[in-house]
Amino acid sequence: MLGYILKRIWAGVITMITLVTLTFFLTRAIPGGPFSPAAERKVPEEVIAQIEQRYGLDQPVSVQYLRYMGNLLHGDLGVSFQELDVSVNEIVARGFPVSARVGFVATLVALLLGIPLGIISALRRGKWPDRASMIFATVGISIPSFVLTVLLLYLFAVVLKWLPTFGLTTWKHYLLPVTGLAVAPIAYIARLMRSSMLEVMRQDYIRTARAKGLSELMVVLKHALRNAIIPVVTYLGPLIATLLTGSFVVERIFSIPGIGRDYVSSIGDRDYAVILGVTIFFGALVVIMNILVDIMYAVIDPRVKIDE
Amino acid sequence: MNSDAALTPDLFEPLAPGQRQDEAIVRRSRSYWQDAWARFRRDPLAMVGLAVIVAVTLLAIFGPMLSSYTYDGQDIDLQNQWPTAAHWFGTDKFGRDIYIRVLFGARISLSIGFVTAGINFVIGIVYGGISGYFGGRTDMVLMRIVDILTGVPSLLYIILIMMFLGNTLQSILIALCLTYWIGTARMVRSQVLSLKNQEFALAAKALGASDARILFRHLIPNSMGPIIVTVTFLIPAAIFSEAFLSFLGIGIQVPMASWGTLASEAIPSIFSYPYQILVPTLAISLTMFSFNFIGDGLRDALDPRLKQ
Amino acid sequence: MKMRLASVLLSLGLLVPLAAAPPQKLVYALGGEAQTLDPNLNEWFRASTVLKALFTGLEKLDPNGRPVPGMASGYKLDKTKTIYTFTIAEGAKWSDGKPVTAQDFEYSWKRVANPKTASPASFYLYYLKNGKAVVEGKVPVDQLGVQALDARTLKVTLENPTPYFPDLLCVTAYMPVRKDLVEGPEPWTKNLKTFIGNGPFRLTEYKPKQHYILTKNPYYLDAAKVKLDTLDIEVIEAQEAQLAAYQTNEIQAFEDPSVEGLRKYQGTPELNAFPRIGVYFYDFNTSVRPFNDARVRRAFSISINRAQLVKNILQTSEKPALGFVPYGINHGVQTTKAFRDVVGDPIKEDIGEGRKLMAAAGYPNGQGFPKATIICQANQQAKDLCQALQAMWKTNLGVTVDIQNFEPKVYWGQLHAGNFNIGADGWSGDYSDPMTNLEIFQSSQNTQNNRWSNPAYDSLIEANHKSSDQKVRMANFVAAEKILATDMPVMPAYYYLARVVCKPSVKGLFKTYLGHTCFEYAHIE
Repeated sequence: MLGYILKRIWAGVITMITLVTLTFFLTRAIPGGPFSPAAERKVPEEVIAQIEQRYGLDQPVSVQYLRYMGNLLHGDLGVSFQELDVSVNEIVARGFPVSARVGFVATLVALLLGIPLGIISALRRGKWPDRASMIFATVGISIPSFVLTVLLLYLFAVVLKWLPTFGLTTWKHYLLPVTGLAVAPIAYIARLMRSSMLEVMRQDYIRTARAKGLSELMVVLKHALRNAIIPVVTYLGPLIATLLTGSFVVERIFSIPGIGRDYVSSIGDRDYAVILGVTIFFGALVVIMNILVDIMYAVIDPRVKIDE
Repeated sequence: MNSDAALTPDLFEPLAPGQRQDEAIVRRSRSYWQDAWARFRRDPLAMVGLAVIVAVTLLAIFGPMLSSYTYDGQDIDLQNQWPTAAHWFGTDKFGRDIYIRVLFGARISLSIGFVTAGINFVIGIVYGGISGYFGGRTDMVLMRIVDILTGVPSLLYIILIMMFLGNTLQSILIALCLTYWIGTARMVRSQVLSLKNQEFALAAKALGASDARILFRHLIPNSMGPIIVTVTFLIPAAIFSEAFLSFLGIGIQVPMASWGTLASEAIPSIFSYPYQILVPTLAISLTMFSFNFIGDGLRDALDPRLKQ
Repeated sequence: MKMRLASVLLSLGLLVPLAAAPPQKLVYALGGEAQTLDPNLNEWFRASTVLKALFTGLEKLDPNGRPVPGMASGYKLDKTKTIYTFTIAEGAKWSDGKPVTAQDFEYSWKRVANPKTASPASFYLYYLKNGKAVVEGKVPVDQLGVQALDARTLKVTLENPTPYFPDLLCVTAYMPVRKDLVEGPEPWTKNLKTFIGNGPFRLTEYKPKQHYILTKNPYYLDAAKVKLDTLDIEVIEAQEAQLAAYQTNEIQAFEDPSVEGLRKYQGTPELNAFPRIGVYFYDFNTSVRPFNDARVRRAFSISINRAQLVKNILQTSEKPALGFVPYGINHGVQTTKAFRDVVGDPIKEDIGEGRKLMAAAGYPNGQGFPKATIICQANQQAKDLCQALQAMWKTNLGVTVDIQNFEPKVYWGQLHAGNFNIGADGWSGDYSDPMTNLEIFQSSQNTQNNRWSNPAYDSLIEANHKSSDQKVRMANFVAAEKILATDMPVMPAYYYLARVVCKPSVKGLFKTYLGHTCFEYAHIE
């Protein structure tokens, strides 16, 4: 196992380098640049030339790339073009913990609600708990997040006046953003669990366990759950990476100073260093989560051999 | 155990050569697909779902011909009207008939739904199947490529694709197809990993079945549950991605609109004219319910363990 | 009797604390962070709103849109009308108590113009002698037309007589900064200890992407007139969230409401609209068929219904623009009236006339009209306007125009490169004189995307640059607008309005004609 982990870490490093390189050249390939005019006034060309020189954008792309990679080795992610005098390290350091807090809670909620919901649906197939959760799941993913968040904001903050509208200072501030983030994952996890459980419950070894006289609950928890949860574990990897880096829509509506917004707005602003900085962060999370997920497979299901 | 009569050899007569019936086929044998379709047909919800999708598709194709309104015909005097006999779904802020716009939106959103579902289903199964089945080096490389593609901000290469291919529906479809197969592939891989060492797969191998046959005839059909759930859930995700792209200025140009853009454009009037957002959201929900029913039916139909 | 009186007075005395003034704290929502906190580098709206609370220039704009003394107690203007001598007010101090000096202004203006600073606001300094040459690096910075004669006297030399120069002094580019702080080891705007200003407030807390907390600056020159103790500027990006926060009283004021917000507060005293000296217009690409023909341009411009665009499509109360000089700019001679009101509208909407023009240009009923594209940015309002225009031109002139929208960083490049037939554009002025909106059409200015030039127009504008006779200037401006209305290089749509929604208890809040919020006179009742 240790050998496998080391192999994966090594592969992870290569993955990250490829990811950074690919993203770097992609950012330079798309039209528009960080100092392209973004408003009515034309900034004098001399001024633009000066700015570009200061940031090294007047160099050929390959030179810029080598410089960036060199700085990266020192842990320097560069500076933002949009926020003057602010380094990308700063942006990530202040934004990521915020997004991560909200995302972590959302992940817990998604798992704690989604898994039981799916199990109940499977065990009571065709009856009203199944129908109700199916309806909830379908509606949950049919409403786009940009509509859902506005509705949540108005219902709970303005109409009912239970919750605040912006910021992230008290625990109450977490409720709406977490809901906005968790609805779709809950729906998906519930459906995955349900489908998975239905198949597992039909297996012979479940019948054996029942025949042995185990209670239904024990059958489910001890035998069925282990195998049924593999699809959810598969989804968990990218889910955690995505939720921890925040959602643009949720952070925008609830004015959360996290990194999810930066991810999208930096692309619109062509703020190259920020795009790369957030990508590196997100990419690292993806790689780490996927390593953990693969190890989980082997732990949960002894038949899975991942290191051949 | 008491035999009623003693069994003596003279009680047994060998059958004549043509009389053996133990290999007679008493029922018409069905291929896998025939069996699947028969089972699908018998699921009432799945058939309802199929009927709805077919109906909506036909409406989308032929509906506009039957109406005197066009999707871009404005009449400001009739702006923001609630549904009436003349305008079944009311009018938008330009006085355009919402019913017709929803039908045109259906063309776009359904195309996105079908194409992304179909292509991602195929690519995901092949890619994930190969990765999970062959394991080892193949799996490592294929999955690391998936990690990289997950990490690269999809918005970047979508912008790039649109730059080269223009702002048309085809280019959006291509862009979206490059993004969503990853989830399916990972799901398929995890299922194949856990199934390939099960007895039925080992048995097939012992019988000398080829790798392709084992993979596509035995392993994949047994993984249909999570695969179908994943594919049906990526349909609304793809539809909303398209809306998000329009929001950013990439994608289908006004006045043409998809269900996603109809919904996002109706947000500013969500409280004054709620029907404007209700209609596209209901359309999406209805379609999602139908896809879900079809998905459930498909899973039950394609699951070999339910073979009758 | 005496006892009664005494007890009444006593009880009144006890009541006084109950009727005491409410806390002078204002929570104001801004739609994003200030793009920069360095006045020398600023040319953006939001940043200006924040910076104006923290810094003050030689002059400042009062609620009537007139420049009044800021850091300067007065000035003298010489006979050529190009040399100003400012006297810095006694008691003008920075928020750390140090006096504001003329050297601070000289240092600051030279820093803006210095090409090494690469300030996007450097064009503001073109009005100073050698300003343009310094920015372009042709002339050393010390040749800039500003000189501190002593600690309290500043001599400013201009390129040309500029009657609106006092207005210009109110923009952030002309505000002072302190050399010892700016040239310190760290970026001076990032540390509260070095971020010292001379405005009505000082920054006491800054949480990036969250809020700015400003408190009253006791050293401010006019501190006695500043009533707010705390100004909490919260960064709330989504308009829906701003509206929601306002309704729950988490904020007391916000700006530029959405359509939903307008619907709620239009007609109530909570919505305050101020003219902003800017015009939303559409460029015609005059170098390419079919808009190289002025008749076609005029036809397009007069065959639309601007009132409908504003009222029904945008659902706002902006004024349709039938001229090129917006409201908020006063007439040079009849200085109490708006230029627009005195002079009238040079453009008249007339669909019949438009059709005649199209026929004369060779496109009767739109036949034979080549494919044309209108481009705009990807926001909802721009797209809505384009869709409405598309339908209007189709109905009224029989032509088909396609719509294309772009991301912001790509859009302006398209416009500048000329990849369009009609393009959404706009211009906000810098000072209250028609020149700010009309000089952009001068061919030497190179600020326009329509590629139009007209020598007669150029000479009118040149003459106005050199003259300071308001009668002559106004007459020239009228003639200039007439040329624009005949040639129609751009199609004006509406004049901008700047809006603030604030609770009835909030008084004294206003937006200047530049669109910046002024907090100096605000107070809570």
